[in-house]
Amino acid sequence: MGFLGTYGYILSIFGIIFLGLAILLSLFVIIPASYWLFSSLSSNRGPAVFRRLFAMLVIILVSSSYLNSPTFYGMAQWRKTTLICSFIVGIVIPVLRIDLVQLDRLSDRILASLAGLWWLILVISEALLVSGVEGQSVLLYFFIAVTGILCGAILGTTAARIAKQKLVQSEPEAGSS
Amino acid sequence: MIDIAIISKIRKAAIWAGLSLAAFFGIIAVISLVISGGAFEKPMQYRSVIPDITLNPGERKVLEFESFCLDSGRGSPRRGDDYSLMNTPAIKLRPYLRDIFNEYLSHPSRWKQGDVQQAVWYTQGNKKWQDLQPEQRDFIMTATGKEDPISGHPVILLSRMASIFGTVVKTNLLLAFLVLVLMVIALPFPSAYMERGISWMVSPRLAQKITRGRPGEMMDDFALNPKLQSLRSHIDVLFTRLVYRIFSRRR
Repeated sequence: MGFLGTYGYILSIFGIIFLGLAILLSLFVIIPASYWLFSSLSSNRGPAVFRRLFAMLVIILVSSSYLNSPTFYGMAQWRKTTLICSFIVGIVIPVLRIDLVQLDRLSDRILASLAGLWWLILVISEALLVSGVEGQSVLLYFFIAVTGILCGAILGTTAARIAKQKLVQSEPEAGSS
Repeated sequence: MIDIAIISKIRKAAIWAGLSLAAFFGIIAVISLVISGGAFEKPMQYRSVIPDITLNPGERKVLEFESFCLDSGRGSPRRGDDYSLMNTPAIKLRPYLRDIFNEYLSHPSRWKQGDVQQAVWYTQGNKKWQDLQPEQRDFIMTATGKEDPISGHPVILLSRMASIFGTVVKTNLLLAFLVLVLMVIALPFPSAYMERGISWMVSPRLAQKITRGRPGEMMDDFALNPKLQSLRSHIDVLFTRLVYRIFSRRR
């Protein structure tokens, strides 16, 4: 074997060790990361808008990075349409059902459940990918739809909560006049 | 205000990281040089087979090339797809690919193109030695001088591992990193959330040590930065105003 071959050979041994460590690390971090995501997304305490917008950005970035990986090349070709439609659904439903918003709740269960579903589909899809199952278009469409609904719901729920606050504030004013 | 002490620490860490990386790759290069006895790979056979192509301005030449697919997982090219002649890094990165092409170019009439194609795909690590035809095995043995040469080869093992786990590792680590940034930027006391998140994995004492130590303090300090707090409040106010405006128009 020549110099380059030997160099590649030795580097690959280190590469296997590093990749092995990265695999173990990625398996360990996914659960605390999901806990941090659910808790920061569902909490209504403090400045929630900034936190939720940032969480939405995280979800979009992670989903697009996963879906654009070469493994899924050519799969789920209607992904943009699915994402936009589900995003609209996610944003419209909470705004239309503004009457169901409870301002005294410290955490938003719907957002936590949607984030949980998003994470669960991601983990199932990753498990299928590792086990070598070919063609998981249906699951990918489901993942895209949940991503869109979750992102829309983040915006919709936050906007609905603020709007409800305004309505509650303006009701006594209207009553007094 | 930016803390000068942090900048000097970052600079020091960057210098150390650079030196460590250079030392790591340098040591491996020296070891490789010793093991290989300073021998570099033989030049590719195609240089002696294919004539130099020179084109004058406005001139057109029609040349025919025999080509091979390097990646069995990719889709077939369609009619009308453009091709370009170029060097491929696969020759340097994939073990025994150079030997296979050299053998075929040295004795093109001896081997069938289909067998060479199977041998090329075999170097990718997706084909088992047992699944190859006897003449394909014969070709690989003649080219490389070994039976089942890629078996246990670390380059192939690494590429298989990367193709199986690469996407998963990248996604999970990206998610963990971005959520960590989210916590630090968007929550007032990120160390408390961090402790709750990792307490199931390690003992409570270790979780406290990790999160209430220097890194935890740094995260909390960063999260309580007045500028960051003002940014959070500003975004909240802007979004609230936007929602108020939309809903007041509706009414």
